[in-house]
Amino acid sequence: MEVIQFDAVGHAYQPGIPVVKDLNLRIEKGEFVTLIGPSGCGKTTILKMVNGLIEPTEGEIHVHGKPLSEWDPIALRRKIGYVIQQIGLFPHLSIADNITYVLDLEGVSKTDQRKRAEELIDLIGLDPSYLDRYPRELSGGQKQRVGVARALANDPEIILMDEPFGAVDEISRRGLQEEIVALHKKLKKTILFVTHDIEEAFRLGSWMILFKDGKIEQQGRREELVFRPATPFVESFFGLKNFVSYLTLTAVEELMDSDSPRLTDHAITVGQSAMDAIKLMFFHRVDCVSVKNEKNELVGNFRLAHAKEQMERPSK
Amino acid sequence: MAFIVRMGQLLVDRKDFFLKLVGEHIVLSLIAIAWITVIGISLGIYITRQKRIANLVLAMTNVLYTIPSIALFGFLVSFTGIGNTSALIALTAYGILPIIRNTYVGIEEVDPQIVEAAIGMGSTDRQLLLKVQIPIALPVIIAGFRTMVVMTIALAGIASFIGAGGLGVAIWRGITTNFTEMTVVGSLLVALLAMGSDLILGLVERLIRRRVFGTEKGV
Repeated sequence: MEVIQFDAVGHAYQPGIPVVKDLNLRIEKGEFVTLIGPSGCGKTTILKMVNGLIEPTEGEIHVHGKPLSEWDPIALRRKIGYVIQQIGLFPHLSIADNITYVLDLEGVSKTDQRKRAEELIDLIGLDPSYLDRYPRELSGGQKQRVGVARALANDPEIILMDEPFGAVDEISRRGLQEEIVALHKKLKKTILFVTHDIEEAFRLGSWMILFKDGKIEQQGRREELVFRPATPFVESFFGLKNFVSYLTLTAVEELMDSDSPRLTDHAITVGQSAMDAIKLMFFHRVDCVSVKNEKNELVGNFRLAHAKEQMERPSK
Repeated sequence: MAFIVRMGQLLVDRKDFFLKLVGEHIVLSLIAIAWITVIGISLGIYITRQKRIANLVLAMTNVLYTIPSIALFGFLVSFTGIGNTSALIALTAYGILPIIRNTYVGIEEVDPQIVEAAIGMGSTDRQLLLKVQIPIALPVIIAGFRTMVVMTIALAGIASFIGAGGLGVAIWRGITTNFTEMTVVGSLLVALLAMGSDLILGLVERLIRRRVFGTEKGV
């Protein structure tokens, strides 16, 4: 079922200079979609059209099957989680009050708010003692976790994230990315995630949409965008560096050949990356290594030719 | 030294007279402060919602501010006559600028990301204002309030020139009867009232700043 649907949507801040053009998009329930593209490609505008912060100047958007024009924008926004880059935590409110801000708007009782805040702080892996602290006492990574908890407070079906991890350091960002993937698996929310960082998009989304000049350049699984680029722009956008990130981020078992595995001189363990396998092969000058599981049982072989086939197989 | 002793003597001898003037001064100032606060904060908030007229309103209050106070008092006498009404109008016109400006600027300077987050999460305009913008702007608004209170108390001293009560009466009488001690005692009492209020409001401002920003210095 589609929870978000764009039909021929366009937006122009100034007449004649559209930032989004003729956009058709269907986002299914429970999907983790990353919107990626160079700055100025319209990805943030697209995100903000979903919760009505920006109105489309052309076309129609349906959210939960209902056209935006029939939604009360306030009611709509309370049903959609929203996380922004600078986090936007309220400096005058405690962490607990920040998390349950939407519930407060809805008039939920203080005791129920407190209960929900306790559940959510636990979910994002912060100590409950943080509930009574203030945003200024938290690190960038912790603030961003609170930002995510705040977006989850009203148990929304859809969560919009606009470059939420852009302002945190590399190490915290990795941790946050892993946590958001885990949260997505656990809560099955529909997530729209805007980023300009290709590696982040690789790490997070099951579905990637690449934008250029307000139009979809290509969408698909990460393998498709890397190995079957539809246009020269897609090819240059993903480039060799991202081929390397792809290999580093892909586990060896995803690309191995599990039919009739055979034992070779060198073995690699499930969970290591395809890049590790290639390094091993390069180092020992072999063209095939065995893949073993945690119990040291043989489960497959990694070979370049087969890996390439796996990468290039079409999706859906 | 002898002058100070004479002033002390005067203060003791005319205790009831001065107490009555201090009382009148406080009442006059408080009424003006109440008017200024209600009008100023409402207008300040209103122009954050009607940006097109914001500059016009700010420019108009600026112009009011540049009129010499004596001239404004004199000008009002020909419309509202001699007495407290004219004094209150003049005091309100003068004090309103810092309140409008600080309310407007305080609200406008709330981090746009915070405002966007609040709107994006489904705040109505009223909720945005009451739950986010005003609490965050409060230290700035209080700072404007503090300036205004000190200014109003000081300016109320001149109000007696158009027949209003307050410590200006003592100053005026001192000047017209060449009674320097009377003038100085009246002036000192005005200064004392202003400084006392400033001190108390300074404490309040620091308290609020610490609540909102966690430090007394600002963001």
